[in-house]
Amino acid sequence: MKRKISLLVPVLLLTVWICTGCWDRKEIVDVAFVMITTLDEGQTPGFYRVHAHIAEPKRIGGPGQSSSGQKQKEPVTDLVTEARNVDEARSNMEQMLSRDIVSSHRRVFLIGEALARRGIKDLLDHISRSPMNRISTLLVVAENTKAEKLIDQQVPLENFGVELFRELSFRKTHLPTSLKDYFIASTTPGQQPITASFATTKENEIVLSGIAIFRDNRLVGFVKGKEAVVLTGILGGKTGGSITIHISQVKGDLSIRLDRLKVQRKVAISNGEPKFTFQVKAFGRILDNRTNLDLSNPEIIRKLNKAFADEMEGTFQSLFHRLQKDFRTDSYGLGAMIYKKYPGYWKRIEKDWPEMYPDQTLKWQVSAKITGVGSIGAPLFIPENEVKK
Amino acid sequence: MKTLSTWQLYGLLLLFLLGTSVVFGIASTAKQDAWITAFISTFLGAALLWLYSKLYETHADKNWSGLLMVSFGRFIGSILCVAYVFIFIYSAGRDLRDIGELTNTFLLPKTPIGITMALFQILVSYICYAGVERMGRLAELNVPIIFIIFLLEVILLVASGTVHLSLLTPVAEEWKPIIKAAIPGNLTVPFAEAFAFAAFWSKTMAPKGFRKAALLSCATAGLIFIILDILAISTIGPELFARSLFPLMTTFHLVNFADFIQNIDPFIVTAFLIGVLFKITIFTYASCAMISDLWKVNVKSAVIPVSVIIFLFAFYMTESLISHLFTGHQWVTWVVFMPFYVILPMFALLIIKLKKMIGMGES
Amino acid sequence: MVQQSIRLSNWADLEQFTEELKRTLGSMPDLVFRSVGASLIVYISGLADQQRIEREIVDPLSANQETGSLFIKTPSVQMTDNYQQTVQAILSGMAAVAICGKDQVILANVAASPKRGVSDPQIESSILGPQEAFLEDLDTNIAMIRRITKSEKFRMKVWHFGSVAHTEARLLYFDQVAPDELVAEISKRLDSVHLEDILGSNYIAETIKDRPLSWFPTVQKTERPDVVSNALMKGRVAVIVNNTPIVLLFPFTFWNAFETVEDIYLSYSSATFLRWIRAFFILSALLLPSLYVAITTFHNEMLPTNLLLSIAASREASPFPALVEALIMESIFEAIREAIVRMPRILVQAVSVVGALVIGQAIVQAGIVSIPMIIVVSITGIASLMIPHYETTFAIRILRIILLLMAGGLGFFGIALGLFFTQVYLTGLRSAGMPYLTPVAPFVWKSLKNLIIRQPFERS
Repeated sequence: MKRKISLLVPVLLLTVWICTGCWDRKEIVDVAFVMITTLDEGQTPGFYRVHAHIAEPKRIGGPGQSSSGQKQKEPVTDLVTEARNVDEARSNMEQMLSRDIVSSHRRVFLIGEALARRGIKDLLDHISRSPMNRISTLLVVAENTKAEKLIDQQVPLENFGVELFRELSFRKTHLPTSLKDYFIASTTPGQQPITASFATTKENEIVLSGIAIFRDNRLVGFVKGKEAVVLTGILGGKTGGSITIHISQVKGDLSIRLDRLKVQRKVAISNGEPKFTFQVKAFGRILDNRTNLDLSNPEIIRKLNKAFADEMEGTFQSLFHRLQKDFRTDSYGLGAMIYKKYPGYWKRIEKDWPEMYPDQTLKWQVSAKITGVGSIGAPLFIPENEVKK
Repeated sequence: MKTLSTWQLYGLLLLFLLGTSVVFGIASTAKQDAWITAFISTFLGAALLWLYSKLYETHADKNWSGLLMVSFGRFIGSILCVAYVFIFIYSAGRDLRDIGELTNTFLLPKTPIGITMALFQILVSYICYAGVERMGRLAELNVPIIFIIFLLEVILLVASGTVHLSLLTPVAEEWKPIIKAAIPGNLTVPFAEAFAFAAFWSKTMAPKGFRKAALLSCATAGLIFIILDILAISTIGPELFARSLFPLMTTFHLVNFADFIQNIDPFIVTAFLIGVLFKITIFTYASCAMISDLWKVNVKSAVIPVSVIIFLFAFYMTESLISHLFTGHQWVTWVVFMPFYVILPMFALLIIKLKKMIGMGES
Repeated sequence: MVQQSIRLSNWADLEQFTEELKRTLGSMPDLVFRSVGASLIVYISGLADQQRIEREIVDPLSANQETGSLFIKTPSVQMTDNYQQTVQAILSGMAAVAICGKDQVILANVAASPKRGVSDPQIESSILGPQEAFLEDLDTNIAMIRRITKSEKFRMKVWHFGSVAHTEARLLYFDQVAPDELVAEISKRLDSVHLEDILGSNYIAETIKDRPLSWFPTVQKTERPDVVSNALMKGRVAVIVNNTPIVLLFPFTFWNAFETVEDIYLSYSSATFLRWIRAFFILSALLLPSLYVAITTFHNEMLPTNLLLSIAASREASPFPALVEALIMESIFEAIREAIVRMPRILVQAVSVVGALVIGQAIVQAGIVSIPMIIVVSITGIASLMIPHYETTFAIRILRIILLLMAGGLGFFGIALGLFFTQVYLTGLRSAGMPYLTPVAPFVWKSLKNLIIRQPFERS
């Protein structure tokens, strides 16, 4: 009896194997990897225009094969389709390809500005529901252009254009622009989501142009330049922007590279009104001195610190001015601060918050510290008598 | 005949308790306070397990079927025994369905769920056929594996920089959802389910050792649950935690270490497979043990028919994952788990203690 | 043959004795009958040392013919009147001295059968340890072991098997160090062996080990005296069989297969480091091909995108599904491996060139198998060569192919199922009564510590 059973098991397994070999097997050569998907408004009103880049392994050539020196075209195939919703677009594309579409390696979802302004809530469910899609996909906005035009540009140094978007958003700035961040921000009471935005320069190159501000899943505007750097910093990302400061009575200015922003935020309720206090410590290094100040003098550094702090405070003020007055969107999450600390109070003011938000005043206590000046004190080319000590 | 050592029983219990929660998370309805629920239910679970061990102590040589007869008399006791046989089969079938659904969602979407579940149930019957002692050794083999996977998960997740403890706030703004999630929800799954051990505990260890192993494993499992919940909430936020069907899978989906270790869900599914394997095995064996005690047959001969019934249950139980999860959280908890895993054992203990007192009073 | 008594009262009996012998053994040219006065010396040349016979038997006998005293100088003698025993003795290389008038035959042990000198171990080599291996001669082997373990606790039990080959086997153990149950158990099993022809220790191994049909070895085979001595000192028992240099050791757990003898000759940190590397590679020897097939076919989300696209690029050229590629390469590798063992030494160099260049390079360039698959199979092959115990490699190889098939059908789930089935199977194996997976299951902390790290030797 034991003999018979122990014979039965391998026979069973064998039959199972023979029968099951065919269900879930997706050979790599039968699969198409989507690298990036872009969404724009379609030519037909109410339709979306979906554009997907599919990787072509053959043209990558695999290891050991050197590419010819010039700029080659990206090894991808384009697929364009128009459909009423994202899933329909997917099914259209399936019918245009010899291979099965696999979206688990799609890292970036690019949305054109026009579509983003119209509202993106109909797009978001598809990309989070299917288990193949990753919730860490980045959601970015193409500024001032149609998304599909943006990805047609040639990207320097990388095999695929999608790498540029990823590295810039993720590795370089740690902007919370992934789907997960978007969902967390939009479901946290008192916070609105943001994404990164990219644009093309005049020379047709892609650049990370700023941060896109969303309210109620609609794009309302962009924060750029210094304000964007600062917003990234206080949201927990990495900074690296260039801050220009100058001291009065001194000709010229200096550039500080902003290294770190340490933010301690406090919210208190007094007289039924929330009061926000931000204690910010900014750290930076001077890497470009266009004055003739001698930077090895601690006195001068102190003055520069003050100027640095003033500049930062000014930037914060203008950032929040823009967020509060121009966009009326709580992207940083002042409301969330109230919710997390005083949930009872938040329940009462929750409905009125959108009106209360633009009128909030924030107290800034900014201190700045210049942590380094590079490896020299005064600029090396200025004659001794002109150096300002 | 006591065939297990403390460590083996501890391993069996621990893997049983971890079971399905490694993927489903604990008390996701309590959102960011789920870990508090986990904390509370660990204590409640420990109390429950302590109660079970006290029940075992009353008659150290009898299994639950014997105890039922002693408490409720032969006639009602036998009927209850048969009921328990089916309860255990149902529990096993539920977990088998869990594994089928999970595999179907993440690993093998196109393979028919019947094949996956059938193969798994064959494995389960092989283990049941092997007996309690080998089950103990199997547990010993797998406990280090689970620990290693757990450690790796935690390290990779934290190293991916996706953990933000601020997502745990506001802490405990409302106590109602927390308590609601704990009783009966998280109490029964998984702690009350450990009652399945009652069907064959006389084969495992003496009551004192059983108690030690049970409480230790309860504490360990509780700790793991709390850590997993905290990790999950800090990574994907309270709302996603509550809305996702497999919250911990979604969490570990985000592991992105040095841009090269990504998408580690097969490892998470492996951890889940181990836990669920033990759960189904214990339930299957419990059912066979009850049958063997009732009808005086060898446990091994009951394995195959019971397995077939479990498979059929799992296959035809509900039409889809959704109704399966729904039944699990609402209906089953109140109708099945509470009465049979919590109330009846308490009742039985009471009756036995009363009988003892009366008996002592008489003599 | 009927047990006959020998009667040698007079010349006629001696003649009859000679005729009997000639009839039993045949009139073979190497069966020598030598008369010295009233005595007859029978031996087989080639098996018996003729010089010794001259020196120790013939000279004394011829010198003492007149005195009638019978003494021979051979140190080891037996007396018998049993015909069977005499025949066996002659066949074993002893000289039978039949003296007219005496009713017992003297069997003088002058055996000096051809044997080789002590040489290097063939299979289990070590860098820092002794370089001796067992020979085919039982006595020499026992002497080698005795030389290393000069313990008074050393005990042997003797068995003889087979009426044709009449092979001798001995059970070696240390009294009071080896558990009594173990010794009793193995003795019982040896008692029940009824084989006729025993040409090597494997015959005995197969008949006395637990679960002879299992792929996993439950007995250890070694050719090194230091391994045997070490085992005996730890409380294990050894079975040594004549005419084979392989000694059997009981009990044998799963984890013994991953220990090399080098472990005790290296320092603590090196040995532990090697142990971990070995464990890791053995695991990959088992799992790598199936993981590769599972991941590239079923779960390609797991790989980083760039790696995946590289693999995809290489796979574009190949017409076969990943599973078939894996099976092709596995079988080619196994073929090469076996061929290298069997072929004459001189050809090894040439064939390895053929194997590497032609098969590896040409297959890839012809586009039959993709490069990542070659890498996977090569790493697997090298990893499987790391397994110290030769017999376990077969279990691992067979298991690997089964896991490969399951991975091809059901991906990760298949691998997990296969591994679980193996686990359950292993928990049920026993070797000489000891569960196969000790000390992990059942859990024995002390031995487990020595398994994970090679414990430093205690300083006094």
